[in-house]
Amino acid sequence: MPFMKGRAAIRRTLQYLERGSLVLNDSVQIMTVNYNSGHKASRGTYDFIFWYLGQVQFKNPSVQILTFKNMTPSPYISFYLDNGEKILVDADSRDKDEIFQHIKTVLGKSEEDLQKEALAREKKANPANFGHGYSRWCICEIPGQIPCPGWVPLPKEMRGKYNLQKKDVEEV
Amino acid sequence: MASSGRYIMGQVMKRGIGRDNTLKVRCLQMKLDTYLNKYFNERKHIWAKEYEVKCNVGDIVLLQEMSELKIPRITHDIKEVVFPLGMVVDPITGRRCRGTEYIDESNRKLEAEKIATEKSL
Repeated sequence: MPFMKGRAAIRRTLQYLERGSLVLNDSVQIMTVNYNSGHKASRGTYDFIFWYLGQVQFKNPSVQILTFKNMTPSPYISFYLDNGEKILVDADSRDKDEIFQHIKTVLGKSEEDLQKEALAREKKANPANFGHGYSRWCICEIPGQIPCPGWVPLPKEMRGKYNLQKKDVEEV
Repeated sequence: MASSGRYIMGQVMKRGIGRDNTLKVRCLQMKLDTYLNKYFNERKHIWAKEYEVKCNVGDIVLLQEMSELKIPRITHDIKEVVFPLGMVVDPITGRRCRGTEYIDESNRKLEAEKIATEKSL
């Protein structure tokens, strides 16, 4: 099996994409990265795009990420939020990791939020669940639980007829 | 026009014929090629109506999805012109720029005056 083609082909592996740690806030809708080619001050932004952009888009599939080249003299990253607000991150002469950390602190979801979301996802994927959308509809289908009252009548202590109406189960 | 929806950014491609203030905007979104595991730009063409904000063909505009579809096929409203064609303003300094260089405003004024005088001759 030959080597994977392309510059820094590791960026094109699923493991690399899944390892992205920047998950933007739900309020971020557009991310714009402006940088210049052959420009020392843009080097950090270029590296940011080269290494991190794939990861960011992978973790934020609903965010529109645009890159603009040679539009303005200084490189910057801007974010458009859902309330109409615009956030500018000046990236002039900044290292890719600096930019990444800055964005993470300002607009990234915190570790706790990510853990909560992971927990919520796990709850949904719990195989013990039953009901609409799961493999078992009713708790009576689960071994060890009370059989379905449609097939086997419940003991009289569990029936409303006995408990609330105070009628014997044989009565109508 | 009640406008509350998702924002999207794109470049204006053309004006609608028949309806003057409708514009076709090309928006790029990155799509993951599942075989190469690489993101490529996918073009999305959106017809937008310009109400308060006027723009030209070639501008890069910010669109917002309209909450109600009053006209068939026109789904978005132009919120803001981010980079007007030929009049790009660097948001960090607020100065006009042409590519990677700032425009020297005083020089430009002199040039404009020179051209004006030469024209009148």
